[in-house]
Amino acid sequence: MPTIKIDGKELTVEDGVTILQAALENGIEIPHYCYHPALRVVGSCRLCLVEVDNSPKLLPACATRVTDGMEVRTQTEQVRDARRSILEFFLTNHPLDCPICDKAGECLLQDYTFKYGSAHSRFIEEKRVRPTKDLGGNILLYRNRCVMCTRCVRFFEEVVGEPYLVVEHRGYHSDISIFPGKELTHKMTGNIVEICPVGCLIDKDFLFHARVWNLTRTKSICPGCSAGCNIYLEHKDNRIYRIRSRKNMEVNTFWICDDGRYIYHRFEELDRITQPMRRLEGSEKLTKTTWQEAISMVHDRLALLKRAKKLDQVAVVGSAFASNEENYLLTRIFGDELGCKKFYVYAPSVEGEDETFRSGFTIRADKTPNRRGAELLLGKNSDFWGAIKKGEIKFLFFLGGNVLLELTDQQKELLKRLEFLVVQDVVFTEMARLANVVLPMGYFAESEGTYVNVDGRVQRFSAALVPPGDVKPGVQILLDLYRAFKPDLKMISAADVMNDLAANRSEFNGMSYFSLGDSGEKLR
Amino acid sequence: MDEKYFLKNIDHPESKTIDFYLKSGGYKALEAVLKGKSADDVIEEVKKSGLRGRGGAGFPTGLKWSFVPKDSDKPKYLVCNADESEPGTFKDRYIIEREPHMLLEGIAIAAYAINAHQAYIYIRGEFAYGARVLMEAIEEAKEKGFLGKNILGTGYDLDVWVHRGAGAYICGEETGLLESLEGKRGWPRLKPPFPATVGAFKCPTVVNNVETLANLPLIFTIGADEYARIGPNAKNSGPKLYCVSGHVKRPGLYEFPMGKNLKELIYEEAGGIRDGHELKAVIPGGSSVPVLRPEEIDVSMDFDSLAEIGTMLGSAGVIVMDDTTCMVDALLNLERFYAHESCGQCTPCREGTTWMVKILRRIEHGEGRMEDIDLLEDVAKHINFRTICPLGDAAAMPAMSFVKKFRDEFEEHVRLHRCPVKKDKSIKVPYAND
Repeated sequence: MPTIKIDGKELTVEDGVTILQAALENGIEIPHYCYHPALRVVGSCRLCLVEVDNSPKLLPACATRVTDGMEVRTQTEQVRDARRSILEFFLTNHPLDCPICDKAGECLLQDYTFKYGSAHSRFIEEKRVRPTKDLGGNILLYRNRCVMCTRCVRFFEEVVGEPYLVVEHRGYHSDISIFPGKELTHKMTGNIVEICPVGCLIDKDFLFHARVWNLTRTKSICPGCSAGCNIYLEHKDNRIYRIRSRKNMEVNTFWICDDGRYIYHRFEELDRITQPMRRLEGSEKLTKTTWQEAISMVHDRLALLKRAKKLDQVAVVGSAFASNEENYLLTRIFGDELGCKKFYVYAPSVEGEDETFRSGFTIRADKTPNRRGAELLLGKNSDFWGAIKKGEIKFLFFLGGNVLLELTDQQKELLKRLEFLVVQDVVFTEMARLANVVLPMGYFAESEGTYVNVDGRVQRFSAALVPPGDVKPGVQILLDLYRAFKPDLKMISAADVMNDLAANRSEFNGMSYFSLGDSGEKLR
Repeated sequence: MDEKYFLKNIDHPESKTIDFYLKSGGYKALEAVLKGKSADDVIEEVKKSGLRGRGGAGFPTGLKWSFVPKDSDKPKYLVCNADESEPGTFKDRYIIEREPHMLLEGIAIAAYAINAHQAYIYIRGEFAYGARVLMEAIEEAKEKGFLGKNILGTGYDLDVWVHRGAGAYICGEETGLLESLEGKRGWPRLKPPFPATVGAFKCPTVVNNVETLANLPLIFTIGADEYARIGPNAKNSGPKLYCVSGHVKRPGLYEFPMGKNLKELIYEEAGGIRDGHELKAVIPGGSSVPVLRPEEIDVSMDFDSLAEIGTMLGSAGVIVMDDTTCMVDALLNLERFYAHESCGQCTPCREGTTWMVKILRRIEHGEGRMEDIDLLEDVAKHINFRTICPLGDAAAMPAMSFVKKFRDEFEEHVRLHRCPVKKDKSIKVPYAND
């Protein structure tokens, strides 16, 4: 491992890394645009030029590999002067429209100019003005703002493997363009907005909706498929404005797909259940009730069955859409506390094929976030419909979470054979409409917990929003139900449940809610 | 050597045919090389000859070849850079059109030295006639067994392909050329790795200029020692083509040994400056190199002597300007060329060249400010040495040298709010409408 010096600081770094990688790894900032860790090095922005040993030329840090004993200087007058000039070159034609630019606040040109640039421009000529282009899909190309880093072009070539964008024309007239007849509706498109260092590629979905510095970022996991991509929920005033990818080299690296990027729209304007509901004996309609009454209705019914020794008629359906904590609590309440044996998992069958792109990034065909976790905790049986048909089940506790849930007429008929149906869900699904008690829970952005992704990685997601009305996070509802049976229950949060789970299930041994950190841990 | 080498057949229109070439001893050098020398011998001999690249940079040719890894099991390529597009340069064109077999023989020797079995001639798109001549010459040479399979019965195979460019100056830069050859955008590559290790199609590749390769038959005819004696010293050796253009009485292509005195070249060989006019400036090596003032031209035209006085031999494209030339206008014309030909990949060149054009245009049209002169120099300074390929340097060097050497003329433009030079309107400058 070579030892190098950057600005006098001695560093021992990996063999074969570049100066820029070595610097970034050790918390030394060298400004750069065209370099992106997932893309081929092109060394074209020239912003990362540094002094190396006795080289008469400044060298691009992104393209120069370290050698033992190398001495790099990033703060000398020559380097500062070079940066100042490069930034001045960028700004010759870049409009100063930051006040109306979506990127403002997270723009590298803005940041670097503040930090390394000059306060005034010597460019007195008229700026080049080009119309904005619609590239199709959600993408607008603000051509005046482009710095020609070609990250977007390389992204489609190297990460996706399907070229969509290209540099058209030459020199001063260079322009990002899309191949004729193509439209940027590819599922990976949204990523180019994230990697664009300036406000050139803009997402119509977010355009003019918020200033980024007003948004709060909450770490979460995309519930769109079993890949478990790490994401940020960016929200303000209890509303999500956009979703961005969160780097996790073990899972999604730097990317997310557009299905996940815009998944928050799925939870807007839903027919949310905002209060616990119950059905009065013999009534067609559900009426609003309190949490206390709803929980005791479920508890009393179960207590009654227990006394009558009819717990074998009780079945519990966990969910591949629900967290490990929620599924685990079902086993605690119904298994450990009551001794029920019938556990099922609700998970729609997988349709289609996984979609893998050149870089290996995969969109999974399994559109549930936690099939692996739910099946680990509750077993792989999902045929509760068959059991209802055979008349083996009279009491059903159904944990949902799939806002797109639909029932067939036959299934609706089957549900009518039950004596008591409890549905814990986010929206008024057809299932919920037939329930005796409906327990309204928050969706993933309103809850916290963990999912197990397709590769067996346990990952944590946090609550960004406050649920509407009387809605509670699923874990809280189940803890309340648990407490009804066990008044001295110590667990009060998802973290407690996770820690209890880790202590009792060998696959989770040694984990804790906090040790999972931001990037999660593999199942044992 | 008093005899001409490149231009010896200038009066023979049929010089491009193989029969003519064979009559004057053609392909003898190739035969001697293939039958009597190992590849290493060839490289050593070229090193000894002192041959340096004639494309502009003057890098020692033998040394360049020796960087090709011998242990690599990848195919090796020889690429002949025939994308002659440096303004003021027209030497390769003559060799291509009139002495194609001299070039092909050189290519075969070079390819043998680096163990390549495929050679490409990347020729600029405008040289349509030259490309046709080369393709015909390749066919002739194949027929006679100087190219193709089992050359001269030695078991050595070499295929030569002509690849026409599409008219971009940047594709004359060796890595831009390789990208273009591979069918991509002509964007120069980051170096290292150099083409000798990672070149065409990711394989070891040597890129040599036409004139460089055309020197090889001579080296292996008269021997490296004899060759090294041509010219002022062993590091600046061999015959050299000089392209003289501009305000001289006899512009044209001249051949002398390396180290021809520039003043002699202009005043004796090219007949001096037009009557009634005085010399104002000379660009000695193609438009990219720093300009010289009249008092600086008593200099030997070789790599090291010109470097000593702060300019370059470059492509030996001698551009002579007399007193009807406005230096601001001349620089504007050059910078417009570089801005037009900049590939746009890296920032300083893409933005800086056009910025320089805008500044120069203002100065020339009487709208300049005194600080624009320093600004121009400063912009050039920040392009120079900061780009991936030498096009940035090529655009910056003229700007810096024009301002340095003719500053008073720039200042006069600003002071008078107009161009003070009495221009020769009889000469049409293309694209001069802006």
